[in-house]
Amino acid sequence: MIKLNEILISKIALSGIILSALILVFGGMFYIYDSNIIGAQLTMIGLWGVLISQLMRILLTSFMFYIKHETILTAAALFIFLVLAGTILINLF
Amino acid sequence: MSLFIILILLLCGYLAGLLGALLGLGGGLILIPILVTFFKVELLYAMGIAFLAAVANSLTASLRLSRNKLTNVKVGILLEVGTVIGAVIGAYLAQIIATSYISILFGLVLVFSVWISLTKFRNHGFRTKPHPWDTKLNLSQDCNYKIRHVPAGMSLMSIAGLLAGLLGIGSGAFKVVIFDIVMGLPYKAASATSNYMIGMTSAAGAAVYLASGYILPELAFAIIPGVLLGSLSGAHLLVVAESKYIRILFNIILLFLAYKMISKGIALL
Repeated sequence: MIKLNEILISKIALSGIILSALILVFGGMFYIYDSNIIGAQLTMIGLWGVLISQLMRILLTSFMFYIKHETILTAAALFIFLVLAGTILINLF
Repeated sequence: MSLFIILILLLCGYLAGLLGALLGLGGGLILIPILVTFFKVELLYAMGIAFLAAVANSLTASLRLSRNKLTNVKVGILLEVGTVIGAVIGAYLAQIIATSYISILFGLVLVFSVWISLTKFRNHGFRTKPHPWDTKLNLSQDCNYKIRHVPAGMSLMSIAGLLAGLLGIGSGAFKVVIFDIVMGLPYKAASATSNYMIGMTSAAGAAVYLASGYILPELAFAIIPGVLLGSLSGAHLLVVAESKYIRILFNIILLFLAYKMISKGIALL
């Protein structure tokens, strides 16, 4: 069984941010040089990807604390996740 | 947009990421004045990019800092509760308050950051016995230091969060000071934990700005990859190098940028 720890969470988050940056670069290039609608959409996906990577990190951190039976820290991490996710949803809709 | 401009933006992102990860700042302190002063980007748009850059910075630096056990995740999560609420409120307030006032406040924040950085009481702050929450929540588990003044730290972090949302910065300078002077974390741990928290604080602001259309894709696509590369280098430097001399250079840059921001704010009044 894979042990969820801080380093593994950081690796997952880093993978997320690298993927987002790549999408952002490709989308940005299309957008700048071709005024391409797909480029604009890819750029936005890349930008949101950065935020989603951060949300994923917080959620995984709360899960890590939950596994370690750290009740207060689990609640704190979940609270942060809910505030951020709520802010995103409120602003989107 | 020419290739030259894209390369310059990439370089700015690299510099912001490098210094951000090295000194525990979000990178907004570097990016915003550069974008506003040299690229004539409106302040709100510069703040939007800075928020996103801070998130990218925090995520990228985290692996290196976690591996070297510099980041105290428990303290970061606990203190972030107050900070994130302050950041959301601040991000909304920033869209209501006039740009000129934010410019001046930003300049003053830069001066304050320099003053704090230069004062000799860093690492010599008031030391008392560890706070009971430290033992109860195992906050300093596997660390060679103890955590002090947890409630005071939490309260001050809420103010740091409000400033972060209002000014489009990660307010890392304040976070490092709170960790270092009030809560008793060593400088490197303070810097790494501040960097960890900045990602969360800035995510709230970035969400508000992104949804409101205040993040320009044509700037972000060049700056964010630069930040990513810069923060990888910065995290490496934080682990291996003594940051004393870099901090002196950084303070000189901050003072120059503070002057530019305050004069711009006064001109807009």
